[in-house]
Amino acid sequence: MFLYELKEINIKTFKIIIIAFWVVVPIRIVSQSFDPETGKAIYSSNKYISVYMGYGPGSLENFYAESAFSSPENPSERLWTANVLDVTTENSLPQLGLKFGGWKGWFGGELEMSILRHKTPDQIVYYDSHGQIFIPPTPDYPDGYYYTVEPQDSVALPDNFLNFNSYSIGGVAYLNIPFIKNLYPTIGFGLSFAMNNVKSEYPGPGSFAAKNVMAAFGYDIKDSQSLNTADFGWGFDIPIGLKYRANDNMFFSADFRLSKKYISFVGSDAYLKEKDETVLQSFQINLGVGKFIN
Amino acid sequence: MVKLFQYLFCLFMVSSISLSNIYSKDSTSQIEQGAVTQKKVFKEYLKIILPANMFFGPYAFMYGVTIGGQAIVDGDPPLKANTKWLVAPLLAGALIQMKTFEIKKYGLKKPTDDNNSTFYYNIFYVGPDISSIKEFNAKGDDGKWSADVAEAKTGTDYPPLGYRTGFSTRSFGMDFEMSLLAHHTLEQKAYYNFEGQIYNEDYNMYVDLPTSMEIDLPSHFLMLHSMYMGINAYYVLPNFGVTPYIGAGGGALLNSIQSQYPGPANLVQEDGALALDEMELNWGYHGMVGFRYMREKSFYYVELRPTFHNFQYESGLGRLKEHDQFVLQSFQIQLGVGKNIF
Repeated sequence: MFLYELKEINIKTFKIIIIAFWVVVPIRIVSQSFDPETGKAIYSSNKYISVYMGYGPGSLENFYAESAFSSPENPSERLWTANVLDVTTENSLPQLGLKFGGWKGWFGGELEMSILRHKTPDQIVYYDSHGQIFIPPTPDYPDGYYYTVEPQDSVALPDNFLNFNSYSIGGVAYLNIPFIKNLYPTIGFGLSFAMNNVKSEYPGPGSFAAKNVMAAFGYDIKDSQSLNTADFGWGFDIPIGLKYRANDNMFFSADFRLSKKYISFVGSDAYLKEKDETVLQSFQINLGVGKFIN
Repeated sequence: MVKLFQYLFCLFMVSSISLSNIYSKDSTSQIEQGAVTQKKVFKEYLKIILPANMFFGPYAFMYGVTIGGQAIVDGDPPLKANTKWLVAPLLAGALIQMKTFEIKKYGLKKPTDDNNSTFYYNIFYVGPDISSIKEFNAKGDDGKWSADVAEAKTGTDYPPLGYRTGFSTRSFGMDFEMSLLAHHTLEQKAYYNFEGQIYNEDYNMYVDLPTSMEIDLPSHFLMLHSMYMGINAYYVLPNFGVTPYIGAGGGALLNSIQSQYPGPANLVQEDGALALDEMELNWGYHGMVGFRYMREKSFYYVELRPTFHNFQYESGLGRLKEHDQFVLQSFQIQLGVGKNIF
């Protein structure tokens, strides 16, 4: 029975376990320990708390949307699918982060909590789509109507069409390279778990792209519920930076960071309800200040 | 019943072993084998409270579910029924705590060590959350149809309430947790994907349905009550005025699913009856990040938790009987107070 229960563990669970491991390992590197002979706590040096602020461009890579409904002709296929290769994003607010960490010799680790906010600026997006959209019953079509979508199309997105707010917690393990006195170049890799909030004044990408088709059948997108979802996701970071130890109490840091956040959410409403997946990629320059904890 | 017993027995064994033995290396037991240490007394304390909580807790929960269900049958609104549900397990919890307090005061020896490297605590918390049902899937018992809903909105009448007992060293902590959770579906229009044929009672035959369908769900269409019993483990990070920690937990869920409607496939309300009243054992897990404000003998804390609770049950009647499953996903903000046991 227990083995049966284990089989039920899905990929999401394994992702969480891997992320938890990645968070715990760097913390363990610098955490306190006990001397078994004296029973006293041994405190490693170079433990710190720091805050940082960052800014930089971003993009939505591989935005994929599929209908929540299956095709009437072939139930194993979705009613429609669509994908966009690249959508530009930008910070709607600077990224803010709080880190607890430390280093010992060449190795360091951090626990990091951060808020990343990106939005899509106005742009024309070209997308690939297949399938049909279901038009709910109207007086002309009492059984509803299946409208075949164009295989390639474009849509003009207004500024702020999608707003991404990602609240992350994760761990970063890094190499701390001794360079010159008080200056430490670093390169690391981090994994994070995130709660992603996606907002729009429209119901979602699918509804927005189909608004003209739906309008021909008497539907107005303004009557639909706006998008506001909260889902869990994960991401990874590659920070390359520099720490400058100003004195025994403080240090300053600067890093360039490539960050990818895997986001999924349920968008649009009614019969256009869709499952969306995308990767929010951002390049950030972060500046921070930290305080050593004794 | 056998499944319930197996789950509880496993959880009891894991709780007892992990909470009492995991940190033996940092103890001073070799020096003070004859002394009454906090660790020894805590072990004795666990031997008393774990069986009490794990026996009377589920019993009171099931009793509460019965009372709440009866309130629905008697025509009480869901809020009143939920209130009645909550009273039974809370009362049982309070009685267990009172008895535990007495045993602790008069039955257990007083620890003679002043080892303050380990903090033994009891926590009481409230945990409001934002939740939703994800990946709702229903399959006909006759194997002729299946339906799924990507997402359904849920809410609460009362925030989750819980109790935790455990220990925390300067770098590591572990505790046993019991909590009461009550969620319900909000009034909404749910759009679902349908495949296959379903039995139509009016025509006494199986009929094809469109793949895209909608259903108007009233508030409290599904009333979900759970008792969670599990273990948490966490790492304690350096103190900077508040003490942050990060960890994860998992455990058994005793789930009750009630509705005035037989099931999603049959939306005819049963007046004066509880058409769906299922109880099942399942499991759930969560991550946790928290901050404690430590005082000498107590602490206050706030903890953020992404949680995933699994539900699987049978609903519907006759040829509309179905097997339903979903994940109740929530983001919980836990606020609580912890007190030193000694």
